[in-house]
Amino acid sequence: MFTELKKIVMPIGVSGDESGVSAVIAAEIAPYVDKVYNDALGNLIAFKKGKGKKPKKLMFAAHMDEIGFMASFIDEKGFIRVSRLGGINYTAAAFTEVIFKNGTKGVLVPEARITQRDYRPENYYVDIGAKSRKDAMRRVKIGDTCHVAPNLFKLSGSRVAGRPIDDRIGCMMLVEAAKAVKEYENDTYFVFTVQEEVGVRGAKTSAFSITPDYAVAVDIGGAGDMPSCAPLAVNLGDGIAIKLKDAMVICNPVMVGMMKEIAADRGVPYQLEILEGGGTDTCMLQQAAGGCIAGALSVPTRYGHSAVEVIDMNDVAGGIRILAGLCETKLN
Amino acid sequence: MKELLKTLALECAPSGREKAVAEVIERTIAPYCDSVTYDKIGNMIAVIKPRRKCERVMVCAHMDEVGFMVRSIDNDGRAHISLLGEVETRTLSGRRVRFLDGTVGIVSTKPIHVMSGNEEERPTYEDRIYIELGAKNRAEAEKLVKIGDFGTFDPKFRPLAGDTVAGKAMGGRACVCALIGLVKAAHAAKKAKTLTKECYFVFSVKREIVKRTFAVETAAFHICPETALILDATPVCDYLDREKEAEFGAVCGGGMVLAPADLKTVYDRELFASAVMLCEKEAIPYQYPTTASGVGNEGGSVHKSGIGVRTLSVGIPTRNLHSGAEIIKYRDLDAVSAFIRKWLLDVEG
Amino acid sequence: MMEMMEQKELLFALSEKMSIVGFEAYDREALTALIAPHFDEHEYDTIGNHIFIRRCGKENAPRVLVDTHYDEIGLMVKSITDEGFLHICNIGGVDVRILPAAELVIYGREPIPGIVLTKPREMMSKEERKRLVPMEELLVDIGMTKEEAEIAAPVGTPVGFEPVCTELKTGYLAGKGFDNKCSAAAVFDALTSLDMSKLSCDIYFSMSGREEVGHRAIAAAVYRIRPDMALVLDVTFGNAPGSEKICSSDMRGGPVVSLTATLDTALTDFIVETAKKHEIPVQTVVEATSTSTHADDIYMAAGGVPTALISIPVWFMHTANEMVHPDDMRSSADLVRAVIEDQFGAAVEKEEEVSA
Repeated sequence: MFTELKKIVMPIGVSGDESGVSAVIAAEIAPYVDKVYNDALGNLIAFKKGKGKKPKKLMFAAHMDEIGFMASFIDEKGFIRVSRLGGINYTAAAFTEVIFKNGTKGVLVPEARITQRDYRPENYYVDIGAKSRKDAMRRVKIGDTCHVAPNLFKLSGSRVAGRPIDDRIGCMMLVEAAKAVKEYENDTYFVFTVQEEVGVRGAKTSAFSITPDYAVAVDIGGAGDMPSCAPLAVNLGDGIAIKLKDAMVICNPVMVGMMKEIAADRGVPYQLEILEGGGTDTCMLQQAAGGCIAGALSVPTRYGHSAVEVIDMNDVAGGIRILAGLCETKLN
Repeated sequence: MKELLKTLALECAPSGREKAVAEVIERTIAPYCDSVTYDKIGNMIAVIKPRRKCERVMVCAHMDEVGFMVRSIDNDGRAHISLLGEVETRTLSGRRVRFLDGTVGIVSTKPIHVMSGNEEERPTYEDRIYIELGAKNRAEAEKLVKIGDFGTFDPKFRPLAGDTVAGKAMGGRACVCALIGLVKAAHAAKKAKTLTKECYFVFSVKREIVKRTFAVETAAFHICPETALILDATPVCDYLDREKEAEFGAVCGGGMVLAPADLKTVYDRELFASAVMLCEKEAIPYQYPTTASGVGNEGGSVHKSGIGVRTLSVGIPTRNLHSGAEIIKYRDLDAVSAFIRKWLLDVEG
Repeated sequence: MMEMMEQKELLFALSEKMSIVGFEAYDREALTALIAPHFDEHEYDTIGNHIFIRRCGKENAPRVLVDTHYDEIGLMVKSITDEGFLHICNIGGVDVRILPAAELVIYGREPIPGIVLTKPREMMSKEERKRLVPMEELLVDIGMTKEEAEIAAPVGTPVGFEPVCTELKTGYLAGKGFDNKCSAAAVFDALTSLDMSKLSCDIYFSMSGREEVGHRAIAAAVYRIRPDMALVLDVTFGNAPGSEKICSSDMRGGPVVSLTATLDTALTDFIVETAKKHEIPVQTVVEATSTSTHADDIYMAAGGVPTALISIPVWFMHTANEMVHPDDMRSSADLVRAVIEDQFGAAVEKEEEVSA
């Protein structure tokens, strides 16, 4: 599973510019579904027809975009100012290797006289080693995106660290679920959404066009088992988390109940997540077009939005089994 | 075009009361359009399309401007207001304002002589200002204005030297002006049988009072365009701190502003890249916005409306945005006009 | 008889004239053409004072001075940036809080329109939003390059508010420079309507300069005129929220007579009595030891002149939209006329009453 994840973690896909990662995922999932296509905003939609007459529509959403940066200004000396796309933790992003979509490498650094306490987006720049504006512009144009260098490595046991695990882990889970399903009871849409990190935008349009009856978002969640962290009854390795609520959604009890039932039936350990802050695609799935019964699975994750997000692959495996279980359950 | 801009600039259209500007626009474009209709919340939708079905493109500019509403009238006959949109409150004090029926009032200023503490060192804020109508008391004031009446900065069209012009709402009206020009050009293209797109021109309402979604979203809902282009004024601050170029990137007179992204939208990668190429090829002056200015425009709602819309945004750099004296340069308006004609119709501006 | 101008028209015409303190000569000829034809004589001295005279034709007649300063607050080009924007400084007490996005006129060889620039709110930090931008950081956009600006608006060029006069539906008038041109318009009305043949005094109407920077010119005028009596008309604060802290008066309450120990108390009392007699609405205000107007200066000038102060209430003093009500101007004119007639035309008037 580590290899499969790594394949999906490595390609660049900053919010609004996801074509790189989209192509990789499309190739991965295509053999297991009927149809794969991108919509106007770039959402990647993989469709698998369900059996029987008038099956219900089930939609899964995992966002394939990641937080990153966009070149907004290049100064005379060739230093590049970047705007943020998504919730950047600037302390974590200081002094990191960044890579542009075309492969150009650079380093993201704060201005020399800025103290850590005063880290602000406008004080950061990317140094690609250019000698002048002209030199820099040969490799980077205004509007080009870059991300902190991706990475994935094993920690002890079943734990894995790197970036962007948010939310390539969800993408990988959808792909693995598609591989695992024996028989589709419902018309199933695996949607790899865009622009989640900048405001849950892709989920809105894809859900509007699909108009699902049931929808499940798969994203990273929080964990509450680190030293002096905020209280949260979710521990790494204790199982996949079924979301009850976050700052933007209260999950439909029908969906929560269904997922609990499948987990219990199939012997999958699970936890319940009540997240005080943050939101996922779930909120848009629930209210797009005429609305639908929506819920979410969260992969317990430490250090989200850093270059060293940590998860437990056992939780992931359980999540995949629940997703496959939903596909194999006849929905009414 | 200057005459049209002047006519538009002298009309008052605070968010929610866009009728005066809408009438000018409708009168001007009606002869050129297949149809001109309004959706249920007041967006004007003008259509010009060829006989056969083809790509639906929506181009929009907003008709409204920042303004205010009368919130209460006190016993001394003074009108207290609520602001509509992001009015630059520090430009309000001491200015003439106008209600839609033409009633003029003056926004209060406290004489320096009566200030206490550090009031003298602070800008004035809306909670401490009122509109003086000169009424003796509440009864006399209520004959002039009612609670809920709408008003704006006093309209003015004030050319400065060169190709610079100032007045309230000038940035927004310049966009409307460019869009009207595009309507006429589209009409000509249709007659010449070179029109290859279904063109939907939207003159939107209530852009300035956006909370969660822009009012233009309802127009996008009806039209379901495949592609959208948003015209809007871009705030610039090109006169301070030139050393901080990164912060103050776009300049008045530097051409149309082409944004790769802002806080509400990441513009379509391909549309953005091809727009840059088009500008380069046609030698249309263009520039990128300031990083700090990207609070976003109607694109934020349009691009995620319906099943999603590939969206691009073009701006006219505007100084003193949302004040009683916005400043633009005609050359920037010309650049926008030239670009949108080439972009939509492949004709010269 | 020449067609008499309404007070309002005269006020609007005066407001349009550029008379920024120190640059009173800018529209000197236009101002002269407006006022002088209605007077017997006109003098303009070297420091900005216009003196318009009406004679009664009697020998050694006493001289009555009626003074209204006509200079106004303004700004000046301090320097020009590389991009052609103007830095400005003030001449007189311009309130910097009304300057962002203000519409200005730069009085170079030709008047040039300009706009004060203001930083967009979305580009301001939280701290900046709370801060008032000081004058030295403000820039004026005139749409020119540095080279053009250096010719059209060189350093030292005076800058004023764009004159736009408005009559509100309530009758109020709003515009720039109404401090103190509303007094000038009222006094003009009063003095030109006097029947000089029935008076035993000569009338000196001084439209004086340099008031706004410390009353620098009036003493010289007094020195030359040597008046026997002086009335000063200026503006005062109209009641508004917060104004109870200073001496303020009711708008539409009539002219305001200053009760003060620094000026001639007998003349002051006479003015109040005259107002009562003629049923002219009048208000009083106590300014015990100083009025901060030309009255203080005239009283002590050239050996001393019996002087009193009458003020017209205005709102929003020192802004581009000072507000005044024509009723207050009309009553002020009535009061000035009545005071002069009762003081210097008493005999004639009584005869008329008898014959009637």
